[in-house]
Amino acid sequence: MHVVERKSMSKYRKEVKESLDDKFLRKSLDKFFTDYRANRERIFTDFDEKGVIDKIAISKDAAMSRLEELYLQFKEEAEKRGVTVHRADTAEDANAIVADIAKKNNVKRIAKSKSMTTEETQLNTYLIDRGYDVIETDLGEWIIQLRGEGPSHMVMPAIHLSRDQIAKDFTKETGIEQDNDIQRLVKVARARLRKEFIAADMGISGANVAVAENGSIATLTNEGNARLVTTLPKIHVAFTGLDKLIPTLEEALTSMLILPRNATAQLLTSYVSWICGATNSEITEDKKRQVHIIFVDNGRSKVALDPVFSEVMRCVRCGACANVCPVYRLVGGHKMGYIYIGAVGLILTYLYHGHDNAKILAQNCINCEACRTVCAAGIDLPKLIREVRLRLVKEYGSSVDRKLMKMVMGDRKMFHRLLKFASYAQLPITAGTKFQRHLPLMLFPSHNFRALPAIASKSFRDQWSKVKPKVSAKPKANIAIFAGCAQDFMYPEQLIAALKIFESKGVNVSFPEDQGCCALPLEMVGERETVKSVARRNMDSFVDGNYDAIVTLCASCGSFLKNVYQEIFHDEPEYAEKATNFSSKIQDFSSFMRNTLGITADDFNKSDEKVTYHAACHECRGLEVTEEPRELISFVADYVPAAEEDTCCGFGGTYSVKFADISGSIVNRKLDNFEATGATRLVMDCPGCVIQLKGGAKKRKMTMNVGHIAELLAENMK
Amino acid sequence: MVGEKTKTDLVALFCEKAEVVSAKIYEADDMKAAASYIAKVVLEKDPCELLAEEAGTEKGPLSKNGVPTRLDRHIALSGLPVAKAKVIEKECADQGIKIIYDGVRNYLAGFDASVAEAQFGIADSATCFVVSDDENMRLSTMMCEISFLFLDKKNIRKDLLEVASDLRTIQKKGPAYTAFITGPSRTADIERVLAIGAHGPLELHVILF
Ligand code: SF4
Ligand code: SF4
Repeated sequence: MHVVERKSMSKYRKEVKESLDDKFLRKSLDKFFTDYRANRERIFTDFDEKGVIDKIAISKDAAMSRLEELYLQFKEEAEKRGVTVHRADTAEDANAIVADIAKKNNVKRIAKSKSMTTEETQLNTYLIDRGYDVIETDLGEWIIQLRGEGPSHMVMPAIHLSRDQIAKDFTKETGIEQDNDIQRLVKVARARLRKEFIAADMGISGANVAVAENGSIATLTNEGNARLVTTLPKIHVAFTGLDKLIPTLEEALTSMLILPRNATAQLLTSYVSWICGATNSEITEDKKRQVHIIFVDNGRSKVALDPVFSEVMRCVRCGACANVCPVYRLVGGHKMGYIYIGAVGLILTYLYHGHDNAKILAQNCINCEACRTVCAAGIDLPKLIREVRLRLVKEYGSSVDRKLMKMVMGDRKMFHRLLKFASYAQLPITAGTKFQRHLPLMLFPSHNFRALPAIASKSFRDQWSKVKPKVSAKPKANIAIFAGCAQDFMYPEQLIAALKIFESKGVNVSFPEDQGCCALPLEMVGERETVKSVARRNMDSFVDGNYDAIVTLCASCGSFLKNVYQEIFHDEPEYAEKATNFSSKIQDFSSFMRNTLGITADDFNKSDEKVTYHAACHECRGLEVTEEPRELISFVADYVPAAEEDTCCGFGGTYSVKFADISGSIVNRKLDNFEATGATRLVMDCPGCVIQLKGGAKKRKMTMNVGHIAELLAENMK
Repeated sequence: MVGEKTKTDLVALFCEKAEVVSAKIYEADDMKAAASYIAKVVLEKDPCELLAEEAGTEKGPLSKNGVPTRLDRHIALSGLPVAKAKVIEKECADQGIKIIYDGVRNYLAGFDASVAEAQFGIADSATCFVVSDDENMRLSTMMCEISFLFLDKKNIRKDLLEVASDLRTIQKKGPAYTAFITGPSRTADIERVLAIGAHGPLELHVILF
């Protein structure tokens, strides 16, 4: 199998571009993306999704904390039942154990059912190099084996291929012209692989779970090939990771409630094969089947003890974190993983396949959080991806642009002075329009899928004394504004619109001027120390006011302040407490309006303007606010929902500059969806998304008015 | 009676979910009815494809997939309790269908059907819980084109977790191979288009008693 090493950014960008230009891939992944979401929703109706996922998370965490104990228990139980249990520290060791078993038993042909762990260790290559015939019997795996490729999805390894390509490969393999009828192609494989099952003298399977209480393993397949490779040949080798160990049958069965649902929207796969001990065989001398189970460590026992990464050991390899990922949708698995794919692939590449290979890949995440909300094991994948970046920075140091960013953004005064300077400097370039080329942070190269906003001639902080709302004697609420860079320096008008509403509703507003950037952009490039110093200053600047709420109009800032500050200060007692307080007060604009102020339709004049909505990632997933903004829009206008409202717009701050091709493709599809609604206006809760969508619309010369939801509401106040 | 009602509900749920996974349901009044249903299905099906060379087996005309077919019809009854097997054997003898008990390895190119017993059903997903310790039985349920599984309605449970203790008890008895079978073998590995009959049976019939 051919594995592409990923050590140069420019090469990687080129690879990504190839995927973007692959028409079949784009069409097929697009369809998959939308089908998957619909099917997933259907299969989880009337099912306690969250309850079961939490259960799995808790039991897996507990299992990983006593991995050694479980391993020993499993080994004892399985060996009592006639199975040989092996443990391999490294990928190489694991492969060698298989080769050794093969050699001792005079094996020539090996039939395999699906196992991601054997992909991880590159077992096939190892065995083939040593003269064994190895054949994959899972249809998808066989197809990519014929092509010498790796899987492009953990569950559907050949999803990147069309029936035409496969027909060609089958023609070559069978020497008979094959047409592209899918049902026929499956029958061709059925006939071809039947011979392989029969000829094999060793069967290799994976294991989805390994149950310590009685040393049993189970494999899930739809084709039934695992039932065959564990029955026909005289030797069965199960090859799996230590992370598959689980204490009891109940816990194993619980994970089976989620795995097929989340993987392929099935209630259960066609076959679940439970193997507990060595059963009979007609073709061995002692009438007993020879069964081996190999547990691969390859870093797992270390990961299990890692305070942050241990969570990833819960993964059941359902593939869902790729299915919902906007980046995967565009570039496919070969470009979004090394061997493991999708969100979890970015993390596992770092953990199992070398930091060198992860360095570039780990950058290819927009932090949209879609993966987190569907993970079968409740893993906070975006958090772990950030952790990978953080550790890479610790290991490799900052890149030059990051160093500059860290220096500038770590010093609020310097950052603000620079932005002010930029607002003068850009005048000739923008020629009075609101768009210019080299923003937001002037620190990155240009790109051309969207026009960028100018820095406001006067920042919000500079206008504050003038726009500050009147103080109410009997205020409805006492709040502070957290402005965030995008609104403070690019779109102060969005904040000013909100102030207008707040004033009319009798809200007392403060603006602690020592606040700065929320530090999300720094976190995204792994600069944790600078993040902390920026965060400390932010919290300190709000600490004295006795605010009912700290309101932000930026969903990205909001979600970062609310969810991540606590996480990063958990081991710093003084700031841990401050962070808890601070985070508990953070509220996004739309929920503050609806839930705290109790704003209703009566507060507005309703127009017949057709308005559509973009659900910012950090609003709908980060802060889990979904109803309120849509209600607010319908109070003032004719709300027309768009397709995929809650799919990421592709901004992700510096992501949009680093991976401009991907970001540009994403925003264009979003804009197609908005255009299709016939709406004349598009609103959202996040100025970052405004940068992206307004800039993209401008570039496409769309006439749609794109802005913040606060502006729409302020315009229609009674 | 509440218990009775719940049972009927579970059977109804099992049948409803069976449709989702393309499993066919036949409710049999008795073993005789089941046997004649099985014989009828086997006689009406296309001749079995021979997917591999088999020493001494004569090849019949090519199937629609261009594969040679087996001349006689065969049903494997490996592992089925003798009393039940006898009823089927008798029915088949009248119709000229041959029976395979053991030595399934001599028929790996494929045969028409197999009949086996499921110990439990799982209504939520129309799953059959099938003790598969015996190698011949495991092979017969996979190498056939149509798999028939007997299931006693009394043994239908609600969900996976409800069979945990049964599974544990069965695995306690000694080396155990246990399968949950849900519909026929399938794949969607080419363009995500569903195709039934990947490596195992092309059809699964659950016969309820
Ligand atoms: S956060 Fe979004 S972009 Fe990043 S891996 Fe998850 S789904 Fe993909
Ligand atoms: S990380 Fe979660 S969603 Fe991704 S494959 Fe693993 S279990 Fe599935």
